[in-house]
Amino acid sequence: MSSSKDEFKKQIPELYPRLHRAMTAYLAGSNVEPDDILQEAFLKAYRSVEQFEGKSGFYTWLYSIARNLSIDEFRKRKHEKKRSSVPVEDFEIESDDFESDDQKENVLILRKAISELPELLKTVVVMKTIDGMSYSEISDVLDVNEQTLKNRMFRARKELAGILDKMGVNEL
Amino acid sequence: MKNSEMKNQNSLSQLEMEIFRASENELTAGEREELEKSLTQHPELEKVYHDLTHLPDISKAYDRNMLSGNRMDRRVDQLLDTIQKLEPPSKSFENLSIHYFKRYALAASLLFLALTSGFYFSQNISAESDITVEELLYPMEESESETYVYYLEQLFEQ
Repeated sequence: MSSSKDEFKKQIPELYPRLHRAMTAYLAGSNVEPDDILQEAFLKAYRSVEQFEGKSGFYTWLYSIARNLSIDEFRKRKHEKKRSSVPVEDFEIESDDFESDDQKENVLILRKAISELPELLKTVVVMKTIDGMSYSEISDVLDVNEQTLKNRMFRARKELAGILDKMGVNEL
Repeated sequence: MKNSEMKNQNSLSQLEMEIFRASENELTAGEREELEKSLTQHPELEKVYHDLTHLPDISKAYDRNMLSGNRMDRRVDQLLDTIQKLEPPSKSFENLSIHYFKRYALAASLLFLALTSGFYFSQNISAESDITVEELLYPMEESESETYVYYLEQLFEQ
C-alpha cells in the first residue's frame, strides 16, 4: 500500500468527527444524510489520494469533495424547494449534554436559522463559524477570493439577523 | 456620478467594512467607539451594526459532540473496514512467483532455448577442438594429479 494511502488512513479518526460536524451543519434541514455523504467522500478521497497534490491539508480537500457530493445530491433531489419547510422540532440533536430545555431550544432555533440561509452563504457560515476554518482555507476550498468571502459573511450575518427576527427571536 | 455622491458611497462602504470588522471582533475599543459615533449619522447602517453585533454565537449551534464517542468510533471503524475491503489481498512473494511463473514459464523456456541455441551456433566449433566424452573420461595425457601420485610412490619406495 502506498504511503499517502497509509497517511490518509491514519488521519481518518481525527478527520471524520470534524467533517461529520461540519456536514451535519451544512446539510441540516435537507433530506440528505451526512453519514452517506461522509462515507462516499472518504471512499472517493481514499481512491484518489495518490493524486492529492498536498497544496492544502487533507481536511480542506475532503471538505470540498463532501461539499461537491452534497451539491450533486441537492440537484438530484431538488432540495432547494423543500429547504425552508422543515420545522424546528425536526432538527435532531443526538447529544443529551444540555443544562436546560431552554438551552436546547436555543440551539434548535440557531440550527433552523442557519439552515434557512442560501447555500452560498450557509457554506461560508458553516466553514468559518462552525468549523473554524480561516478565510484563506475557505478560499482554497471554494476557489473564491477572500474579500468575496468576507462580503458573503457580512450578507450571511445580515440574513441570519433577519431570519431570527422573523422567527420572533430577539435574544438567545 | 458626482464627486460628492462618490465620496458618500465610499464612506458608506468604509463604514460597512468597519461593521464587518466589528462583527469579527477585530476592532479595538477605541475603533469601536469611533465607529459608533460615525454611525449616528447613518441610522440604516446603525441598525445593521446593532443586528450584527447582537447576533447570538452561531458556533454554539454545533459546539457539542454530535454523536457520542462510542457511536463516532463505530462509524470510523466501519469506514476503515470498508476501506480495507477495497484493498486487494496482500500478495506474498511465493504467490507472486507462482503467478508470474505460470504466466510466463512457456515464454521464458522458449527464450532460454533460443538464447542457448544461438550461443552454441555462434561459436566457431571445429571438429578438432571438440572434446569427446571418452577424452574427458580417459585423458590421453597424464594429469598433474597422476604425476604427483607417481612422484609420491617413488618417494616412499626410496
